[in-house]
Amino acid sequence: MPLQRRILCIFWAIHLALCVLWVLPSKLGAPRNRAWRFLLPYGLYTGADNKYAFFAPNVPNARRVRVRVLCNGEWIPFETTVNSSESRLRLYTISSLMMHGEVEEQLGASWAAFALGRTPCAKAALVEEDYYGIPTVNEYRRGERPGWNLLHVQAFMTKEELKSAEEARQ
Amino acid sequence: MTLTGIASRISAAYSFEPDVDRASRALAAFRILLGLVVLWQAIMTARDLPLLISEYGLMQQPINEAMAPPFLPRLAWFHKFWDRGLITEHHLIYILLGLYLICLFFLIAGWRTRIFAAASLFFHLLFKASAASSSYGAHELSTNGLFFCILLPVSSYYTLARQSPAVDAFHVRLGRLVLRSYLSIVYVSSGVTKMLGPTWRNGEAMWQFLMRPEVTIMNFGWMSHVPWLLVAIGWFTLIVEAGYFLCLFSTRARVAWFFGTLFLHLGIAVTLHLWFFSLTMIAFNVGALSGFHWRWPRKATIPAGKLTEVA
Repeated sequence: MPLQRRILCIFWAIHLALCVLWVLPSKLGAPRNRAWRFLLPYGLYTGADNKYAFFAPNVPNARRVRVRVLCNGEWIPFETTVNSSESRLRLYTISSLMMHGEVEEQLGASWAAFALGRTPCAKAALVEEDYYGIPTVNEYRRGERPGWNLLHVQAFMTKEELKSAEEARQ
Repeated sequence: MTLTGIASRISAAYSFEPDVDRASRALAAFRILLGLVVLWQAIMTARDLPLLISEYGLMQQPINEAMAPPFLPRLAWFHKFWDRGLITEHHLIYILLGLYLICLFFLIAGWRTRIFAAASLFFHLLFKASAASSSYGAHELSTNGLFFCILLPVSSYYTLARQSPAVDAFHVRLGRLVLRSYLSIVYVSSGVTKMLGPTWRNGEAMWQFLMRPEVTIMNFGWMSHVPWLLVAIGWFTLIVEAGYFLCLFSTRARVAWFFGTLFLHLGIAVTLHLWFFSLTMIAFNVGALSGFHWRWPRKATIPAGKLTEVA
């Protein structure tokens, strides 16, 4: 086999081996040492660093985010309007990210800031996170039905509103 | 049979390609399908790009920056342009999108494929990283697909180029083998992870999947009265995913798994509306498995009369 072809075969063998190593759980995979960090850009640019456990080992609950803004003493629902089903799917992705506690507050704050920026009269915003509870097969047969349940509420307000609230308290 | 004999038979089956010409056409079809899916996805999100990736979009830039992996290109790299007032962020987003669409067009057309595949990958990564909080599985798979388009022989057929490169049997075989091996890693890892929990084996995961609010095609509540069907669909998914490695060694398994995965992904697309994810996976499977003959050529046998004549 000519040298060029041998090199090509070796390259693909290494690439696929890296794909396997990245797929393995971190407990089983290669130790993430300094050499591994050098490989990270390669993995990012080629997609070799991906994991593919879609809906595994369990199917997670669906999440949704509802935002309400306070305008003239009234809570008004704020709709994040998008123009395509694909964009709507991207909003679902953000909503489902909120199940990760470490970013929940930042994502909620950004969503609230967006709503406050788009609603001139708004002084405060509530970000309500719901999860879709699905009964088991047996529970469903007994008459229970799936539905949205409130999981968490985050409250935000504009700097000016916060300042005036603090002044009023003092 | 000796161990060496078994190893050489496995190796031969691993790289076996019954028809190189058809395999080459399948790789070209992979390029076109993947390109079209990525192009369609880019067009579908075009109007909402400022919402998804701009500095003060739904998820503000520091959040997307923090969530994006390091080293990847992103919109923030170009912030000096709008900081200096040379161009607005909005305009820059659409200039970059325009360049991305042009690259994808030439990739689909098969003109200077490697260069435009590399450029498409760059812009794809830029938009993916700039909207890291809202990117999902389909984006990861497209990254792999565009990378394969740079290096695999995907432009021997169906191109607008005046002279498409000649079909090289070695490169076509290797390309298909790489695609099949990659897909085996994707499916088997997903299948094994699903098998680790009990829910995919006892039908509970399938129930949870079909009852999700995104599933609007029909109310699958009736399935609670036929739980064995949920178990059967769950096991079908597990077999298709975990058994995908059989395609590496058996030509007949490739045909069966081609239709199995097609059915699986169309099911996901219709129920969960994950069209881009499903079509990306279908494009991969077209490249890796399609191009088969409907009727397998049987081994040539010499009629008994001829045999005696020869003898």
